[in-house]
Amino acid sequence: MHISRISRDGSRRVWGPVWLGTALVLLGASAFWFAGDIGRTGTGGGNDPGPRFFPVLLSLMLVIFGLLQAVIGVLRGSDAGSAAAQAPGVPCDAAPPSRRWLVMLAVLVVYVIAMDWIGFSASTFLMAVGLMIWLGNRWWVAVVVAVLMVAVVRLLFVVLFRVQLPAGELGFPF
Amino acid sequence: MGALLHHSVLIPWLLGMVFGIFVGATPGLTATMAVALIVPISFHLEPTAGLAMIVGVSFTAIFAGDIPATYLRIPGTPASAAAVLDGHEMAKQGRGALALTLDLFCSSLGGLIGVALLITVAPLLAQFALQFSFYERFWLAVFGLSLSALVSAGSTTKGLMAACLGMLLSTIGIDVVSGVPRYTFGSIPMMRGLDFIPIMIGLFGLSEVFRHVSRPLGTLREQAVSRRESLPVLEACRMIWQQKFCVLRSSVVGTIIGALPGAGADIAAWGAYGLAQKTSRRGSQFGTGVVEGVVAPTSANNAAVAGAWIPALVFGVPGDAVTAIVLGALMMYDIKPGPNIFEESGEQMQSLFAVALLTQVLLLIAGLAGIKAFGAILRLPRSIVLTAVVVFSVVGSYALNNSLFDVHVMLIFGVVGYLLESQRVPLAPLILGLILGPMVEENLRVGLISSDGSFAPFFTSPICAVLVALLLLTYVGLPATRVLWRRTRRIRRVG
Repeated sequence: MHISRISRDGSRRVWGPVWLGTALVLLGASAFWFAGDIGRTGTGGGNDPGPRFFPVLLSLMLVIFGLLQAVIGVLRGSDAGSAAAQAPGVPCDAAPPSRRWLVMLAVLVVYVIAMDWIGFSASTFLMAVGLMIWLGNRWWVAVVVAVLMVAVVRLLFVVLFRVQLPAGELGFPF
Repeated sequence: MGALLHHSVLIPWLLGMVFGIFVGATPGLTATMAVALIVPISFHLEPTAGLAMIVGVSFTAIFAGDIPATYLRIPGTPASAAAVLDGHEMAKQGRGALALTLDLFCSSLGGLIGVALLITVAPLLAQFALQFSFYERFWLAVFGLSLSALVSAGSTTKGLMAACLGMLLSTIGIDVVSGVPRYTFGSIPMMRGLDFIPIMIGLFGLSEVFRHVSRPLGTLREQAVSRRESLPVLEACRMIWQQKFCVLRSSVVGTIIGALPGAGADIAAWGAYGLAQKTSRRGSQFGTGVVEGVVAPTSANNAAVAGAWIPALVFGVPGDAVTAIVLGALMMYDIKPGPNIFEESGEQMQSLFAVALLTQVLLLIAGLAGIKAFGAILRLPRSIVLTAVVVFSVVGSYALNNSLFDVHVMLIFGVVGYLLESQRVPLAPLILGLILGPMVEENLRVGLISSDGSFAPFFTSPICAVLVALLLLTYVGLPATRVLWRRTRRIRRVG
């Protein structure tokens, strides 16, 4: 993922490190906040710094690292941007960021939710067919491969390893 | 030994190695991913078969990465990057089959030497490690984490950040010292903490899929150098005999580098390649298809896999991400890594070493088949491979505890892994943080309890002092020396 934006002067600023830093600061701050809910009592003894100590220490370190990352990102981003603007022959729209992974993520979220409803086999078949067609396979190849995939997984996990795969609330027999 | 050759062990073992060949030879899929995907399957087998499967995959995937490195100039795994230089040049000269046969034999020999060193060194080191108390173990874990952050790809700050994130994640669940729940938000599945395997599968399996779908897919057949050659086994044996010292030296170097926390098979391969180039009479010809340029990195990368087990087994500090998964798997088999491992799990250790040795022999069979089958691997559309990875990631995570919660965790960490890697944040320190976090915390807290709250014992024992000095040297001494050296050079240039 290459998060960048073209500014008014035509230079391209790279925002990835800033976003990463901000996300880490937020994560660290949240962890610090919720560490307040961790009970003080324990069986460790009087000299035990307690169960809150380590999470608080780590969440503060994350905040510091996040801030550092964001500051470095702002400084380097502007440098990279001006360098890119000065460099001859560097197209502003080079390497456009791909959003295909977000589509893939949406497919997987729907797949996992569907698994709870229609069970493992049906949801896996539908997901595999959809994904393979989206990635450029012919529909009949996708169907055959998806059937084989579900069959192999069932043979391996259900028949051999006796794993109970999700049947789904609708109670499909497969 | 007889138990290892039983069909109930041998069949999954060989199947695991075939899987390792497939994943390792597919460009973009890593050895770490192969091991992460095989672990949930291995838990459903008897312990010896499960361990054999995991060990088989970890060694085979590293070798298999050399196959596309030679024919396509694309390393199958990062550990094969150094093998690209001379291996692909040999393939362009029509000697690709010879390069791969050399790769295979050197990988097997490197693995054998690495495992032999492991068997010799690990028990001696364990005897020494028996002197370690909470204070030494605390610094050892901190040292392992710091070193992994230092040598990982990307900046050291990002490595340390990943290690902190991993340690913070390890605090989720019931605190083992006080029994108090932390970050559980009233959720029952969160009480037992985040399971290590779904996180691994997400970080190294699903994130790869996200990365692959973000760029054009297809087959790689067009880029392949011609493969219509028979495998010149005898010629390869003759060449290896001529290069026996190079093989031995590279394997030893690979084992030593592999044993350093954070320095995996990729760094070992580059280290051995550089050493071979410096010591060879044909150093200037390296990169043009020189035999030593193939022999050195391929001996070292498999030896490093064995080397990484030394600190993992003896100290519980894994050397790289692959070993971290193996370590996590060992814990699930009730093998507790640490100085007492040879007393408490002596029998299991013996079978583990026997498996590791026999794997090097089986590697020859699986490897020859893999080289022959590479054409079929190239013909397989990547869209099908990626879909299969998604399905096995989901079912593998679910099958651990028969819980969709683990699937959700895997999915979340797939996204986290993809986003972090897109910002060049190394994932290995995160995993090491997740594994070593409890070791750091427990030893710090129990150490403080036993010292009546005093930090002094953390610095006064000789081993602690050495570890602290090494840490200071790494993080203060080395950068300071670098700055001074640069300044001196600049002054000289101006002068």
